[in-house]
Amino acid sequence: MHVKTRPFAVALLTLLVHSSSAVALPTMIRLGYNNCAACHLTPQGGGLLTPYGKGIDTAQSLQRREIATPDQLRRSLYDVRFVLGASRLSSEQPASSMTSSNVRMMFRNRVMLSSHTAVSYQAGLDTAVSKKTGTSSGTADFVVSKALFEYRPKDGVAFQVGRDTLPTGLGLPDPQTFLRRQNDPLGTAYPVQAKAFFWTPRFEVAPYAYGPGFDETGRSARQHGGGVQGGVDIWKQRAVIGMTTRTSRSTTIDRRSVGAYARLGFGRWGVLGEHDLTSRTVRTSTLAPADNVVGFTQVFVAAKEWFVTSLLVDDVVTSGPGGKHLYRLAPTAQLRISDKVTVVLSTRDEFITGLAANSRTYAVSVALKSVQ
Amino acid sequence: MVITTRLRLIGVTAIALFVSTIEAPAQERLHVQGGDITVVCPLTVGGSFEAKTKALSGEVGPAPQQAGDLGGSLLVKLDTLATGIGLRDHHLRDTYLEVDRGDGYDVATIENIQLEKSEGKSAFRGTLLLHGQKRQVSGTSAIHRRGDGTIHVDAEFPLKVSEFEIPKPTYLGVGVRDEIQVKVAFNASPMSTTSTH
Repeated sequence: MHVKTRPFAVALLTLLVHSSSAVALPTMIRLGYNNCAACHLTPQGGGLLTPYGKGIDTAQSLQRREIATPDQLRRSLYDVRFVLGASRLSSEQPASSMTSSNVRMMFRNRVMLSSHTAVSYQAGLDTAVSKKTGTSSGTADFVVSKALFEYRPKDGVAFQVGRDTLPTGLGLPDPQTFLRRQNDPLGTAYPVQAKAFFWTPRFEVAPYAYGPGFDETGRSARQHGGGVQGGVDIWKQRAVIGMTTRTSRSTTIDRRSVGAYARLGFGRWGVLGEHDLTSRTVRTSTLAPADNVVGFTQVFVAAKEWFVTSLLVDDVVTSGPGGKHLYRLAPTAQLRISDKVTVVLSTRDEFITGLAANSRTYAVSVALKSVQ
Repeated sequence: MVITTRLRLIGVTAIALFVSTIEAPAQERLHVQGGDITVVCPLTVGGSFEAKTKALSGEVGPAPQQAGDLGGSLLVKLDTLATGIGLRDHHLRDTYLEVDRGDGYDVATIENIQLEKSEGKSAFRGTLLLHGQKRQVSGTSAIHRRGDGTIHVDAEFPLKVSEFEIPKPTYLGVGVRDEIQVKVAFNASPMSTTSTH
């Protein structure tokens, strides 16, 4: 259900994307967690936690508690998650300044069908309201961000089919959204896909193929493609480096990407980085291909177990017609009050070369979730 | 003939002097105050965590009974081990190492150390007292002598948790593998040097 215009929704979700950061924590590599499978039900990370992940979640909270080991793993695991966000964007062009708020409610559930198979889904309502000079608008969307069937024949191997975000080197929603906004602004965040995960304490590989998500803005944005993400631990389970490749094809555009990523952790601090080079060719145009170099770097410090500060740097350089250089700096603080409440505070400065206006966004989000 | 005898004499003297320069520091008792202990604990689901402490102390020196052995002992206060997660520290110290039980549990001690070489890289063996149990451990060490008379030691050895009768560490379905790795780094000073401080 759309109450008003989609561009506002895109802008709002981009502004408030920080609120989703709390769902995946590759920063845990600082403590030797070099893959997501220890704490998350899906090896891709994010989403529901394993019983052990719940234990770590509360152990790293300001208000921690003991969790008893369940007698047996529950067949159905679920939670309900609310994310409340508010932000204020100040632009050099006063007409672009904006105040906005967002409420997102998600239900997340995984049901074991057998000892090796499971279905999982994540769906909810995403509402946003924004105020610009003289105008006000709102959106309310029902979003199915995950609907997967999984077959896990043994530890370290998983096959998944369904709708989800594509695998990335960091598994963080922030850089993924930023990357997609640069390379594929009209596409879907949740394509239908088939993917496999192979992981050991030393290696991780995830090949995948994907098709349209059927919620793209137009038919021409629907695409098919495939890729692979692979990494290797090079230092004491605290330094993973890897590469990604992806190719896709729609009725109008061919895209090819190659990237590199690193997850480094040194006790209280660490660095996460993912950089991609994407070449886009418009098949219906004689224009030269455009290249995008998109980078995300996060330096983080865990001052306390429950208090993690980060400096996030996004960087994009586009060649070809309409080329630009954009970078963003976002100091962020995440406070995990309990395993039910997380607060994220951030500012984000956006700098664009040329005539476009620079801007600063102040954002606060509160994530609440039920714990089964 | 005389020249040969003199040359032999010079040679023997030189060798004796050379040997004495190596052995001299090894005859002193060495004092250890602080160091870096890192216990690497691999998890059954992949990944690992480290438990760290700097609370190392002790004295070592030549054992009176047998040449090549080190007398004395090195002690680690186990209630100072930290893993980066407070609740895990609590489980480690109280549930598994049971430091509250006192003697033999609150401090890990390594003694009867036998070194293959007193300098450079070599193998070593020793007796580790942990969780009230004494077991032989063996590993590798690297000893570097410094100009000021101190020595720096890096040592590493594996141990099996089950051999020390420590309950199998598990938390909400995830366990620590039986074999863990202990890494030790410290500086030791001759007793005469440390006593002047």
